[in-house]
Parts: sequence; C-alpha cells; structure tokens
Amino acid sequence: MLDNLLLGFSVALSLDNLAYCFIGALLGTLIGILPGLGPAATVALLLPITFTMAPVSCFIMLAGIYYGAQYGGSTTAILLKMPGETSSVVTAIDGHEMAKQGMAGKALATAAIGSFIAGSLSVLLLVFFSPPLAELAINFGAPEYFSVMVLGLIVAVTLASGSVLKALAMVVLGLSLGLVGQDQFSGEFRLTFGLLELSGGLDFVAVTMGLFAVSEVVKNLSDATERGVVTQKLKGLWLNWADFKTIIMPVLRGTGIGSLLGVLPGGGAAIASFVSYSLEKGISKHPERFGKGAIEGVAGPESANNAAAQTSFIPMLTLGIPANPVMALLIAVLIIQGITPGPRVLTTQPTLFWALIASMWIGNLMLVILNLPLIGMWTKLLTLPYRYLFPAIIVFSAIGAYNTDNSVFEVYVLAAFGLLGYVMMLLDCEPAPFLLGFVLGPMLEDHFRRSMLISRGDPTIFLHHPIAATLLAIAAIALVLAVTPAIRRKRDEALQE
Amino acid sequence: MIRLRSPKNVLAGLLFLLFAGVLTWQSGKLELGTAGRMGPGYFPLLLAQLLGLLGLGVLVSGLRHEGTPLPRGDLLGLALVTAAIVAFGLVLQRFGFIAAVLVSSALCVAASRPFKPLASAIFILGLVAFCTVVFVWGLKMPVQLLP
Repeated sequence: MLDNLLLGFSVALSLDNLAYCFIGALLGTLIGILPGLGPAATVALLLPITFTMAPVSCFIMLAGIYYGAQYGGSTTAILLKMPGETSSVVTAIDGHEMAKQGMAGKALATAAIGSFIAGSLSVLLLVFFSPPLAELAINFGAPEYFSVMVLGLIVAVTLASGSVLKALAMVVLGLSLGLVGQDQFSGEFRLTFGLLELSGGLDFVAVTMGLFAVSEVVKNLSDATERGVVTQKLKGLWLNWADFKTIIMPVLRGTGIGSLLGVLPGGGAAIASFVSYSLEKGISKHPERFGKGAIEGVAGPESANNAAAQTSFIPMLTLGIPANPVMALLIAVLIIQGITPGPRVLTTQPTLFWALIASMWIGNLMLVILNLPLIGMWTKLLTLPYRYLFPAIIVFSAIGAYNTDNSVFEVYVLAAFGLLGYVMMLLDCEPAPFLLGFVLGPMLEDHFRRSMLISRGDPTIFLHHPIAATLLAIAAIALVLAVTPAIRRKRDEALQE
Repeated sequence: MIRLRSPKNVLAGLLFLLFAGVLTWQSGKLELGTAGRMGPGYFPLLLAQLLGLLGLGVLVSGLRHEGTPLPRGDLLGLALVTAAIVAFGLVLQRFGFIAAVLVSSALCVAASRPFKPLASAIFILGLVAFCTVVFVWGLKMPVQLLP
C-alpha cells in the first residue's frame, strides 16, 4: 500500500498533474461561488477538451472541480446566504448569521479548515476500503452486476427529495434513452427514429448540459434578485485555539457522517450536511444557539459535505456505479478513454487510482490556500450581475455540444434537453435520477441479457445467486421503506429543515 | 369534470405516458426474441412498459391527492434561451462562428432583465473575442470564423 501511495504521489506531483490539479481546484471554487453552473454542468462542458488528455490528468482535474465546488459553495452561503451548491444550504443558516454578527472571517475559516480536515481524513477511507471492495467485486458475474446497479438506482431514488414514484419514472426514462443507438449484440439501430445522427446514441455531454446548465439558466432568469454587494470588510480569517477546540469534535463527527453517506448513491453530500447539522443541534448543550450563529453549525455540515464528496468516488472506482451525476460523468470519461469501468480499474490502472488519491490530498491543501488568503478576490466575483454570466454559459454549452462530435446535431440535442429539463423542473421531476439511469442503461441491459442467457430465460437466476439476491432484497426493502407514509414524512421533514 | 388536485403530477404522469408510448412504438419495430435469447427490442419494450405503469401511477396520484399548484414558469425566457441555442447551430453552418456567437448571445441578452443595451453590446463583443481566441485559436475548434 505504501508503495502504491508513493507511486501515486510521484505521478500526482509531476508538473503537469500539479497544474491540472490546480486548474481543477480553481475552477471548482469559481463555479461553487457563481450561481447557475454546478459541478455536473462544468465537468460536462470540459469533457470534449479532455479527449486528448491522459486519463490520469483528466481525472485529477475533473475530481478537483467536484470537491473544489464544495469549498466555493460555502463562501456564498456564508457571505450572502445564497448557497452556491445544494450541499451548502445548511451552512447558510448559521454561517450567514455569524457573518451578520461580524464574524464572517471566522465562519469562512471554520468552513475551509473543517473541509480540509474532513477531506484529508476521508481520502484514507478510499485508500483502505477501495482495494478490498474491488477484490470482492472482481468475482461478480452478470447477475451480481445487474443487482448492484438496481440497488444503486433504487437507493438514489429513495434518497432524492420529492416523490419516489416520479424519481423512479425518471430513472426508467433515463435507462430507456440511454439505449438509443446501436445494439451491442445485434448491431441493429434502436429508438433512432431513422435519424442517422442518433446511431451513436444521444450524446452524453449535450444531454447533461441541457438538463443541468440550460434549464438552470432559465430558472435563474425568473429569479430576478440582484446579488447584494458584500459590505463588510473581512478580517480575522483565522481561528484561535479556543475556536479550534470548539470545532474539532463537530468536524470529526461530520467527517464520519459524510464518509458513510457519501458512499450511498443519490445526493450524498447534501444529505450528509443535513444529518450532521441535526446531530450537532441534537447533542449540543445549547441547541438554542443554532440558527443564531453557532460555529458548530458551520463546522459539522461543511466537513460532512466535503467528506461525502470524496467517498462518493469509492463505488465509482470499485464497482463502476455512479453515486451522483458527477460520478456518472467520470464513468463516461473512463469509457471514452477506453477503460472499462468496474473492479478491474484498480488492478489494470493502478496509476490512475493512486495518483487520483494523492491528488486529493494535494488538491485539498491547494483549496485551503485558494479559499482563505484569496477570499477577497472571490468576493469581488460575487458582485458580478447574473445577466452577464448566463449568455456566456449558454454560448459555452452550445460550443461544448458542437465540439463533442463537430456536428450541429448535438447543439439541437442540447436545446431539446434544456427544454425537457426545464419542463421537468417545473413538474418537480429531478434530473439527477434520470442521468444515473442514462449512464447505466446500456450496462444494465448488457448484464440483464447475459444473466437471462445463462439461465435460458428463467428470471429466478437472480434469486439463486446469494449476493445478487441479497442486494435485490436490500433494494426492495429500501423501496418499501421509502413509500411507507410515516417514514416518508420524517424524511421530508429532514430534507426540508 | 374531474378537478385536477395536483396539476404537477397529472402533467408529469401524462408526459411519462407520452414517452412510454413513443418508446413502445419505436421498440415495436425491433425483433423481440425470447427471454432466454433477447432480441434488440426486448429490454427497451420492457422499460417502456415499466415507464407506462409508473406514468399511470403518477397520473392517478395527481388525480387523487392534493398537491401544489403549477408554477407560472418563465416561458418567454425558455423560448428565447432555446432559440439562442438552436440559432447557434443554424447560423454556424451558414455564416460561420463569429456570427453564431453574436446571434446566440444577443438572443440571451434579450431574455435578461433588467435590459441594458449599451453594456450588453460591449459584453457581447467581449464574449465573441474571448470565444474566438480560446476555442477557435487556442483549442483549434474546426469551424469557419466568417461566412
């Protein structure tokens, strides 16, 4: 393991990869602060550029964007009570309250230091748990894979906010549209409406940017609120020893919660921050301080969301199952680079895995430096009016869609999915389950067909394989629990708080 | 006349049913095969039927349970932003990259409020310059700059 880590650091510390790590962290912070452009849309936008990069470098950069956004999101949450990312919603409660009392610097420092500690510790989980998990999964056959994917999709559905039925329908719709294009077995073109342009399938980049960037832009158009200027001068961007002693336990608890929930598919980071906040409030001797600028209310959730962002890489790297839209995009990157996602990634691409791990430590360190001393620069960005930002987002998306294939057809796919995404948003149907289904569609079908081929058409094969049966049973229980009225109400309360 | 208790769910259900119908129609054209030896149409048809069932479920729950009213939505903004993307594709093919960025960002600016023509014009020119330098010269995007 030590050898592997050394190998990882030797690759991650090369000048190229340090630069990519820095670009990723910088871009992540930027989009965390700016509204209307989340990590999923940004990663999708950058995909065409990564085609020519080495797999290691592009993974390091894209991962940096993802966890960097968790840092950046907290800045706007604290200063403006406008969370840049959903996972920073809770931070806004006490963080902004602290800012109003003139302790913005302390809140920002807590968020950054908490995120750093959580990030560094949770990477250890990747180091220790990924290899054994991949080892276990390497003996998986088609029935087991099918069951893991079903479980992943079901858990993602049950953890999403809103109606379980609608989220399930979105998953199935995503699975179906993922099948568009050439059939892997017969070579026949499917669901293409006779369009030659669809024979390669719906383009992943265009679909993601349509659902996540374009529809988000349209939504923000109607929120005509101008972003207020930060009037307060920031000072005291450091913690004294007493502060540190107050936050260290919430940070560690947040790290634990985030690490566990991050592994689960479906919005891990956001849920982790909610759970951490309620825990800190629950065990506090002075729960009445929460909502009025309690430093623990910033430390816990911020650590939890960053820890979850790191551990969500575990199922993606070891099983090839995405826990959230960004991980789905990274799986697409693997496929584009000619690497089959799954448990063999660790053994066939050791440099990719270990360099990514090493880059996470480096990236987290870079982020603390980017976020604390340079905070003044970021707050200037906050004053940028949204109306200047969104034409750029739209034009970049159109260029990005065109670049995937050098064809205008992808630009029209982008427009269509922007339209669909906005309509779905109005109807409270979330795009994340759709995207997970869209990525997993072809793989799910592949394993399903293989299993049924082995069993000669007998669906009970999934019950005869113990691991597959167990996984499907867990999925069934999760689904039943999610639709049970009493538990639903509790979950909705937790998500609303 | 049935009152729509939850218009959001009724509309979502209808939309899912529409998709299920289209997917059933498209996969019906393919060879189905048997469960033991599936043809290209088997799994898509299975999913389409599942989607139909779920859509029906959403529709029924929308008719039976009370829900929040339909939000007004920014249809003008949606139309303009969609038009901006489609225009990018159309103009790019006939009149080149610079014209495409110009037309597309102008349509976006038309959707923005408050509307400030002068500042927006300067911004659009800056965006055209930036995109040309970064994407066409820097990243060697294979497009014609001018008609």
